[in-house]
Amino acid sequence: MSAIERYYQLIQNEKILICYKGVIDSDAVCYLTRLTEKNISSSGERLAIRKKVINILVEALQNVLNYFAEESLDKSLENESFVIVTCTKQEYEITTGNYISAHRMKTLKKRIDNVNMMSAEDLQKVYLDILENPKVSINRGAGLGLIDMARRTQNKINYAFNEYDQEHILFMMSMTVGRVKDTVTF
Amino acid sequence: MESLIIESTNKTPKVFFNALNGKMELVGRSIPENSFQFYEPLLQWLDEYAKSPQDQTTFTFKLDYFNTSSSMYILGILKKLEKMHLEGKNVKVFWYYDAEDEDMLQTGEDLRQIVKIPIEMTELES
Repeated sequence: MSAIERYYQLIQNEKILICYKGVIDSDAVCYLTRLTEKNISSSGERLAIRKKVINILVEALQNVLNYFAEESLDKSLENESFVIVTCTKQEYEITTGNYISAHRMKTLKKRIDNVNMMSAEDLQKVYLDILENPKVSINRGAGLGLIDMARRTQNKINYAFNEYDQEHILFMMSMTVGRVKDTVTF
Repeated sequence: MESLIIESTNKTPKVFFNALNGKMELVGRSIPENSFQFYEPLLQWLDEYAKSPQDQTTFTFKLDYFNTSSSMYILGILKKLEKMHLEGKNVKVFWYYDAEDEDMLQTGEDLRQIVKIPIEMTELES
């Protein structure tokens, strides 16, 4: 099988809507968001679903961007960031990946685990608490971005850490948005 | 006092704050990385306006999307309007949402819980 055929099959089988690897800077957030929105719109997707996907995508991409703004890692590692949006009959899945300093892993894992343990009502309450008093986020162990993404996705936030070397870890996170109307809840 | 008019960009909404008739609008998407940079001048303008507002102040939110850092400043705007309202000024807030967009409706409801100011939820005609 030729490379072209392999790539085509991969795109088809994995239902890839958009896939990008490279630096996620302000321009990339803009382009990727617009392209994804265009692709979803042209498929005639319901507006509510489209907006959920875009909202999660923006937060996820800006999470990566903010991470590198706070912590300067080797440029070659920043180039390894990626985002994939897939679309099956049932759901959209937004996946991002980026390298982080190894010492950040523990806190990050705890934050996501915390959010994943919360019920929809808890998430709503914490969201309003943090919105009113951003300092609360420090005590709650999660920022507003993570809480907001968790509110919009119907499932838990999936994540994985892959060790690159002693100092760096590849952090991957994915969230889904259901397409079936009856399962859509805020 | 001068009106504040800022055209929309890929990441920031259109700002139309009319000092002469007290009508203010925020329209479009708000996903800037640096929300402080964008929203701080808006908040400062509102502080200035609140010193001698028009008889009727109307604030309209017609937003497609906004990121979480914008949401804190949107609440900041509402707090400024709330202050004017509590000081006895006439302030009306309209929160537009698309009929299909339950998230935007919910966000409007959330903000309504936080600030003590009447927010009218208004469905956008498609």
